[in-house]
Amino acid sequence: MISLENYNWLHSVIILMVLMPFLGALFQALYGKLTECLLGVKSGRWLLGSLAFTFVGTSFGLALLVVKDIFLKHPADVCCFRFTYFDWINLEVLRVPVEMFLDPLSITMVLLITGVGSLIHLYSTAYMSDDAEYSRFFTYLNMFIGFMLILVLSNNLLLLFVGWEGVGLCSYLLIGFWYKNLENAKAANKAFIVNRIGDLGLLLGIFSIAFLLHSTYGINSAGNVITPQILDPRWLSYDIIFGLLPSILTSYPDYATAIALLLFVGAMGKSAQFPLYVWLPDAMAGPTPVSALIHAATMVTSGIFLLNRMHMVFEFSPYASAIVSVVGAITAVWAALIAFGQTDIKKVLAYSTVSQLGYMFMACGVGAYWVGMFHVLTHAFFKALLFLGSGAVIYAMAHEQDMRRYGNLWRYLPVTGICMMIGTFAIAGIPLLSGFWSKEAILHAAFESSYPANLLGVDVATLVGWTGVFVAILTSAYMFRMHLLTFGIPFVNGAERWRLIPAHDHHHHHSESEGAVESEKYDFSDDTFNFYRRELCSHGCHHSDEHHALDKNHEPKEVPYSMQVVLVILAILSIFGGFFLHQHHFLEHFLSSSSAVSWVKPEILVDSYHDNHGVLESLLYISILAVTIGMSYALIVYSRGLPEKEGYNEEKWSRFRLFAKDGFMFDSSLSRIFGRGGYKLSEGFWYVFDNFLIDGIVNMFGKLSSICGEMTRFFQNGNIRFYIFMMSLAILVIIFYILKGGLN
Amino acid sequence: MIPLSAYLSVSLFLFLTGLVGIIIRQSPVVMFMCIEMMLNAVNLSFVSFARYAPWVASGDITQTASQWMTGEITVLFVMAVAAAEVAVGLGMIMSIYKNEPDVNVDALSNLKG
Amino acid sequence: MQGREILFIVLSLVACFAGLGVVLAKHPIKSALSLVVNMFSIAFLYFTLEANMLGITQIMVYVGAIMVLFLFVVMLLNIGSDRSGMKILDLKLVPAILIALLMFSLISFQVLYPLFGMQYPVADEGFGSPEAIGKSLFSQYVLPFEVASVLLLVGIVGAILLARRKA
Repeated sequence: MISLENYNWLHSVIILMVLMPFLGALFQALYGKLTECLLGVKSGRWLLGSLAFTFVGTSFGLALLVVKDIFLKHPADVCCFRFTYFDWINLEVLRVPVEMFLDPLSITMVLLITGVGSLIHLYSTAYMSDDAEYSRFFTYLNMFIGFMLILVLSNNLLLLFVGWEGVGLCSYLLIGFWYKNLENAKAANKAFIVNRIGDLGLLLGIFSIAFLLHSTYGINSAGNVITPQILDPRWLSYDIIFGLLPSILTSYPDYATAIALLLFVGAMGKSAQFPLYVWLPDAMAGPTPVSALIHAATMVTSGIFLLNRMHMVFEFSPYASAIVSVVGAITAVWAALIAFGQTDIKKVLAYSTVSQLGYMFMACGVGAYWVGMFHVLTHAFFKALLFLGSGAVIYAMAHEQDMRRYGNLWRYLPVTGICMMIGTFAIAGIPLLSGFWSKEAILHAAFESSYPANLLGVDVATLVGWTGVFVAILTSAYMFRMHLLTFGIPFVNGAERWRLIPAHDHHHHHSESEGAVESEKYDFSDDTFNFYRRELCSHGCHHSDEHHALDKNHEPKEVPYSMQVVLVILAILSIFGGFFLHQHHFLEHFLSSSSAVSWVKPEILVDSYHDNHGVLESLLYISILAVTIGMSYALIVYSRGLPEKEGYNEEKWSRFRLFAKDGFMFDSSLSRIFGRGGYKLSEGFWYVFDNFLIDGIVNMFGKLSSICGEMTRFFQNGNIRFYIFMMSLAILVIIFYILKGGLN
Repeated sequence: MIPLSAYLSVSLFLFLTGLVGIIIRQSPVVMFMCIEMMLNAVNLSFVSFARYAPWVASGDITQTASQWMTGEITVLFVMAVAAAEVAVGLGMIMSIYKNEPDVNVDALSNLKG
Repeated sequence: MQGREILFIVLSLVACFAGLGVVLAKHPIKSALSLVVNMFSIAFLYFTLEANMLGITQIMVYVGAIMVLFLFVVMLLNIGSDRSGMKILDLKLVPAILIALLMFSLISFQVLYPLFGMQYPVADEGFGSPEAIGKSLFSQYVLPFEVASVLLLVGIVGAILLARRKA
């Protein structure tokens, strides 16, 4: 660690970096409407947009400054800084300060978040310019960047969790940004709820770490007694955890597996891995820049970040690592196959995101954590590019998202088309583009993994490697399918496809378009103050008047320059980013030194033998072959426009494609199993416990008292002489009691 | 001298007779008379205890002159209360009879649960 | 056997038989007259206990006032004998006798039996004279005396109210 003496300014810079987006959010929330009122909608929005961009851009500038002055001047392995600001929780046994941890991993993430984030802010200023709630959008977006920075920069797990939940919240708010449409609100709820499952895993993981540290601080593996004084009360901070965990995990390998799996569940939720991926495709209900920023480039990579941050735990548990890579592989294949059945351009990109996230987890699972981060970076470039490109297409096509209505957009949107093509090439893994380098690195890492060759009798790493190759074929196939359907030859019966929509066919189009609200769906009878109707009108105008509906007279126009600039910048990054990061193993050296503490790797990881030399030598050719296969399939099938068996008439679709369109029934099965099953289960519980046990007890008391009443009713029969009889009996008893000396 | 227990026996007999009468008779007037008889029985025992003071034999309590009077005064008050009670009770019985000439206490069970 | 004892035995026998008469007589008039006899004999028992004032009060209040009231009511309402449905001897007799026997045995064994052969002081002559009673009534018991007068007033008002009430 280098001395901080000369870098006092760093302390303030880091907190400024985190606070900038929050300040922006505060400004937008407090003065957004005011600005619009004072300056008029047009110039007010211009000011608000540029302010939102400026705040995030400042953070980016500060991050660049830090990189220039610190990381480029010193070797990466000494650049680990801890900045303490104030105490958040201060107990005798636990102290949780607000601390920032600056190391190569976090600064990489910061650069990614603020860099891509500010580009997307720039793009959004144009994209959202017609929306009624401009400042609300930027409030959320700025707040998201702030929480993401807390997530990556925090020095303890609790603060990480704050950021983790904060980004979840912002994601929820942004998915449901057009909340007046019930479907969007449902999608937001779904994302939030599914994420809670993952968060529970993360929380349990944090608890287990705390429990493990706390329950073992009587002894350590060397037999030395660690007294509570020696255990720093900041034991949720990374530097303490990383200092203590290796010795503890060596003696308790089972704990390593448990903690690793719990943390992985957390990562699964945020990063949309196999069972918990279902929220991500639905999250496309949000505005497209949100999909680009949150659900493709940054937030979904926080799972990878978590794995990178806590990779020590995973390295102590080969089983957990194997599960990580297997889950990643399953996700990659699964989502890639589903992507073939999607006709919504954003849904295709969503599933490709899930698939690419699977790739990243594959890399992390075979031990190549820096490769996972590498793919995070390149993926952020090209996926942001693709999403923003698709946003541009949607913008140009009057908010129509169905690819079957696109085609021949080369002619109308040349800049977008070229940028999208670069993105498609990059994600498919065309050599020398960024996706190629990271994908190559993942496959390489899988085939030469230093992890045990046979885990439970299966050569997991090699299997994962071949899965990766297979997914590479699928990826290039569905990406080129998307690209060709959007930009390629359009003709069906000699006309561009959207020209087949009859004029004023608003209904079909509106139900598919994003954010569209059909006022006739709603009952306004209760709306005394005309609240909803007014907002809906201003909102609905945005679609029906300014952007007239997509019909046969529609002429797509190229998007505004602020959007094009972003696309071009991202396209350049997609082309050169991978090469730049990969040359001279720059990123590998940079990230591999990211942990503050070095430890002896478990023996099980050190020497294991994979018989993959032949594969490794020819890996380059194999992956180029894979890309070519996928690309040729797409070219053959889609070069002559939309094939008949993928057309509007879904009865002609092949069974596989229909199945894929439904997401392999996974979503519906989940809702059947957990929704209806849970309903049945609770119904059963209700029947058994509530009906019999609880109600039984309650009714028993009721019946008991009514039985008692029936019995005592006999005594109150209104017969005076009977009363006298009973009274004398009682007097008798009392006399007897007194005479027996009972009163003394 | 007549012993205390003789008076108490008479008192007890009259009290129990009144009790049995209340239980077996159905006419409210007769029941009322039985109550009066029970009151008289109790009065008798009060007066006899006022004259003979068996508890003084134990030597615990020294009886002052006014305390000798307690039993008699109590009887006096019981008589006063009984007079008032009879006045009210007979008034009630009269109004019951006005409503229902052939009254039977077993039929007066409007308050049963 | 001295004259006092003979007098006591006669009086108590009369009282007991009159008491039985109250319970067993079929006609309320007979019951009431038996009660008059019973109260008279109790008044004389008071005299044997040297409680002259109480004896006189007994005759005046009970026999003179209360029993006359009873007879008035019985005659005014023309209450006849218990109807055929109202038997004197019914099943109620069994528990009544039972409870009477229980109470009798209890009290006689627990109260009367220990009193046999016991020496106890006897009040002075004239302790129950009107003078003595008047003294304590107007000195020590003056407050209860006043309360009793209020009670009697309330009783009068209540009786009038009940008797006047329209059916």
